[in-house]
Amino acid sequence: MLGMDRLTDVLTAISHPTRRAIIGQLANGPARFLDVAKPFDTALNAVTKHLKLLERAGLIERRKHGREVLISFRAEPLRQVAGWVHEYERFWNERLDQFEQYFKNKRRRRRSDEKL
Amino acid sequence: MKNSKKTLEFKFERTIPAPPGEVFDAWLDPKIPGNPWNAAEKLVLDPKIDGLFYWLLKGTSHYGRFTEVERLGRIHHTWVSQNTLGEESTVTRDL
Repeated sequence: MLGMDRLTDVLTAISHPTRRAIIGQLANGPARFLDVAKPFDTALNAVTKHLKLLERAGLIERRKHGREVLISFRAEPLRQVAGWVHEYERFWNERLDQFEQYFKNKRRRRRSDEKL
Repeated sequence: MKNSKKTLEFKFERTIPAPPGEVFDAWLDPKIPGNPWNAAEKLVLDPKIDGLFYWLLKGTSHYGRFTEVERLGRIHHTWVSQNTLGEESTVTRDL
C-alpha cells in the first residue's frame, strides 16, 4: 500500500506538464542531464528543480556511468498510484452496481406483481 | 493532500432506473444495498443540513457533515478520515 506522504510526492511530481514531459522522455531510456534539459525552454536550474521533485517521488534515479551521470525513469510509483486510484474505482463501481441492481429487482418485482 | 490545495476529483456516473425521489430516499437509507452507508460496520447518520455522520468501514472511521440535502437535486457532504490527513474532502451526489 502506498503511504499518503509518498502518494502526495508522486501526485505533486506528476501534476506539472514539464515533469510529465520529462517522464515521457525518460520512458524511452536513460539520458544525461543536458539531454533531458534540451527540449525545454527553461533555465537549467528550473530543470534541476523538476528533477529533484521527480527524484523525491522515486520516479527517477541517477546512476554514475564512468564520468557521466545517467538519469532513468522508475515506473513503480506510477503503478502504485494507479493501484490506489483503482481501489476507489472498484469500491464505488461495486456499490453502484449493487444500487442499480436493487432498482432493477424492484422494477422486476413490480412488473410481475402487476401481471398477477 | 498535505501541504497542497490542489484537488483530486473522482467522478462516477450511473443511470438508475427509478424516479429521482425514489433514488434519493434509497441513497440515504442504510438498509438499501449499494449505497455507501449500507457498507458500514457501524453507522451514525443524520442526513440533514449540518447533520453529521460516522461511518466505520474496514476498521477505518470516517466522519462528515451534510452541507446540501435536496431531494430532487444534490446531496453534498464533507468527508474526513485518516487518509485525508485532517483536511475535509467532499462527496457530491447529483440527481
